[in-house]
Amino acid sequence: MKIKDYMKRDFRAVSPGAPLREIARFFYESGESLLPVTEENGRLVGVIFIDDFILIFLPDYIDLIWNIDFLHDFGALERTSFTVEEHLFVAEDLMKEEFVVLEEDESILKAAAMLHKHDQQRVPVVRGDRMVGMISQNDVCRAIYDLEGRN
Amino acid sequence: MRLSKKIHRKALKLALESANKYEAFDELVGLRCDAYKLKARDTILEAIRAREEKQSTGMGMGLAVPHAKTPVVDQLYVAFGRSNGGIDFDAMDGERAHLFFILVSPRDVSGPHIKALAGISRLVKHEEFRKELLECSGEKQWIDLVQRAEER
Repeated sequence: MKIKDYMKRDFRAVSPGAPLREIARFFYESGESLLPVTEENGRLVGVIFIDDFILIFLPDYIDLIWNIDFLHDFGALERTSFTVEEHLFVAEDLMKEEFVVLEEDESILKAAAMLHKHDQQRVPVVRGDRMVGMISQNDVCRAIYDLEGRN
Repeated sequence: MRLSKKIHRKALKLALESANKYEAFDELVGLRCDAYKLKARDTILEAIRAREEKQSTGMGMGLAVPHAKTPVVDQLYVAFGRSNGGIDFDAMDGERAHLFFILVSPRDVSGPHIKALAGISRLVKHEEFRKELLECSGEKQWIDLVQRAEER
């Protein structure tokens, strides 16, 4: 059972120069927590995690406060516009360049192990350095279901 | 990240001499490399230019924040420059930039880079703070006013 038999081939990705608004739209429309960043030729150069996107809007003191229950709102932060951040960040500023990736010819078992080990719901799949799909925990479940049917 | 703690006094220059954007990159990268004794100045400059090609870091409001990630540095480095005559930075509002924060971070981590940029964006949203940066007369005063703004 190979990854290429179960991965999703209709993934979405952005270019390294994609603006912040496009990244925000991807996260809220897709419900995904990981966004691949690819060059024009399809080469996978990074991934953006939703946590890093949200980090832009969190004040530094969040890291210093143990109990954040008493914070009712983000004060002035909630009343300012998105404009400054839009001019400051593009996709490559947010992306991680060291990330988990799988080859399409690898086994589903390896995908399951990597997803579990790195606590991710999905991982990009490549052929060489080109992104060709995305494999998720749900795809692994589909493979397990097929296996069950076969036996 | 507290900018007032992170920035070296020698990485502040309150009278940039550059006349255009690319001279400014050179001057700001040079300032930072000298202050922090960084090597690979050309590589850092190239990374800053390459990032700028993706989207101008001229933010309007008289501000520019050129920044990049590169494997040739081991941590985040920041420098600040002020141009009294202003420099055309292709800002959306068409205004010349007078205040410049320049950042460079390692490629393999994104968190500190994001936090530093986000911290700067929060500071510069305040018009009063930008005015103070334009008017401050020395490095000590610069650090004091950034510290005060960060504690607000």
